[in-house]
Amino acid sequence: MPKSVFTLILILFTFAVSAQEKDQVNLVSSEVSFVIKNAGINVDGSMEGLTANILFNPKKPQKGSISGTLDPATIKTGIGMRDKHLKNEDYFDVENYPQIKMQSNSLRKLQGNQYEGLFTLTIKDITREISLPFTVTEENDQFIFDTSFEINRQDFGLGDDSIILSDMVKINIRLTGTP
Amino acid sequence: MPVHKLAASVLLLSVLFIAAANYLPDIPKTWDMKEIKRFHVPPYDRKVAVTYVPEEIYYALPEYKLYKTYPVYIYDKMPEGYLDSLKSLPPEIAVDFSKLTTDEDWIEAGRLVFEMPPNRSPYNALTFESAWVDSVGYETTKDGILPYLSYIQTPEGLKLGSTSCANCHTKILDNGQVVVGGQGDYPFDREFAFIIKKFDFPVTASMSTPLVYAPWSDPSVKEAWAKEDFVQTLMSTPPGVMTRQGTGTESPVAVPSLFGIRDIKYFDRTGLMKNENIGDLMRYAAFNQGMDMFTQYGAYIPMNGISSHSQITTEQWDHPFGYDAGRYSDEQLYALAMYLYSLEAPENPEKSPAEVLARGEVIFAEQGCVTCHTPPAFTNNMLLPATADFEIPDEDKETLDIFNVSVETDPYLSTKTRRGTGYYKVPSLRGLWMREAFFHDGSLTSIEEVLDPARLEPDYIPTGHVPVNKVFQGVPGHPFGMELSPDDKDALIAYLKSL
Repeated sequence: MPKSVFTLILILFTFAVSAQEKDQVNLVSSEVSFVIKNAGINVDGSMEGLTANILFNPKKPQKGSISGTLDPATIKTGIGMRDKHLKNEDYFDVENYPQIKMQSNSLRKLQGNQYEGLFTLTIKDITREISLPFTVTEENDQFIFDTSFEINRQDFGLGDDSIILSDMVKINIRLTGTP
Repeated sequence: MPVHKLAASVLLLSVLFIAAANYLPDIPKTWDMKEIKRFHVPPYDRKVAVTYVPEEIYYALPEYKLYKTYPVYIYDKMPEGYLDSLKSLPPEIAVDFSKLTTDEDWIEAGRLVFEMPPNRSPYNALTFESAWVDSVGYETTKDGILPYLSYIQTPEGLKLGSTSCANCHTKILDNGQVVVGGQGDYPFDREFAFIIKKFDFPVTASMSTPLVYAPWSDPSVKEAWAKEDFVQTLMSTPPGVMTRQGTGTESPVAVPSLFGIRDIKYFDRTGLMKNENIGDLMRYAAFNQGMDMFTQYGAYIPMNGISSHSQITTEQWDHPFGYDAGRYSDEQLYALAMYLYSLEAPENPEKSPAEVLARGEVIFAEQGCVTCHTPPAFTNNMLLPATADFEIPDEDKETLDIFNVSVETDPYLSTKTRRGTGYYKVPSLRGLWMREAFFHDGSLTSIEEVLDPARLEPDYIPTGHVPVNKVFQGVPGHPFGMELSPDDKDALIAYLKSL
């Protein structure tokens, strides 16, 4: 290989790596909560154990990517036995599926601080593509990612038909990170 | 009237008459082995083969004769000459099933089946003097009637009848109202304890083993209790609870309400039998009115002196509950089921303010009660594992309605007894206002006690059934609705009592 070509590849690679490093957002904190109607009453819940790998530049969102995992065994709804049930195989089956996974396929800017991403969401052994809006706010040298979206729990094998438990679950995620 | 119109009228009347005279409902066959196997939930120990009495042996047993019955009074209130007048009566068949023409006829016949006692003892086997009534704690009507029992005039003479459906499923409210189909309050266990004391009966293993032993029980179940311990344990059994056959002296069972039974998908606290059609209700009655003592578990048949189904004959019959040799006819059981379907709960006297009930309903939902105790039956009709480590067999996931979380109440009944399946069903909360026994073993006696976190503490002594030989660690499980503010708990209780 001619030396000049090798040098060019090295420069490009270095540039790419440094661009990636530049866009890396280090996760500082996360909040994952959800709301589902049960017998007409909103039940609030949360999960913890989120890990995320975020590459994001507000000016070039299409170059970025966001992926993360969540530990369904951390689910809390305020009633211990209900949480236990939700970990069983008819819901999250945490023994066999210890992670919920999200991976962006594309990110794009809508307007202002509003963006949209196409993600693959994997819960248990079911993977579906979902589109979700999110905002990115810069505060105190930190990025705050906020999203709120709905899924149908039965699309992911979470429980069966129920006359009291809604199918639709609203999920709220807030990630805070430093660029 | 023109001739053709007259002819048409006569024809129509004839058709109606024939239709009425031949009104025969489509009565399922009770002892249908395929159906019997379908409606049973497998036993806790899946390795034990369960074999039921063969059809030909069941149907070879004589049918019970439905003789007319008469009220039993406590002695202080018995009309003068009452027993003598009964003794002078001829035996009388109470129902001619061939003459039933309407649903109402069948329901009324079912009422008589409900009251018909299969146990027919000498009329003076128990005498209900005041001291005896007070000691045992029988409830009576204002007229002094014990509606759980009956006198029955048979060709062999006047008998004291017991162990009818009415014996277990009749309740007397504080105001004296008789509630047929409510959680019964006949003091079976206390009566048994007093009989042991009064007649100085020995407490032997052969007395209790047929009642409570299963091949998967602890071996100690076959050992005789010390008399004092046995009596004290029986004495602690509250109204609405009984050490029924197939349960355990350590874990008797709370009697269920029969109101709305058509909506309930599983019978028994352990969901032992399915309720998918009227035939299942008939089968349940046939089994639980004595035939279940002949069911074979591996090599074991609970019935005294029977080691093979071929030995089930009228001559060898020696039922531990004193049942006459025989069985209900399919017609009797169909009528009984029709009657049970027709039962309606009495008016609920609990009247809380609407705003309190509304608040209670919200708390019922917020606390997640509604997930299992789902309206309108206030049960989701599902089975819960009795323990958190019960491994649900794959076949159960296909054939049973399983809600895969244990509320971790005492697992004894569902893991150590013949009625054990490894599951407890979600009980309906309807009619909770008139219950005296809570949890499957009746260890608690009020909804307030159920929601009291103190019951979870190791040093808590419950107000209901307390086996003396058991190291009590409080009353575990179902820890819901306990950490509410006093006002919210009051509202929840008011709502629960309104159901």
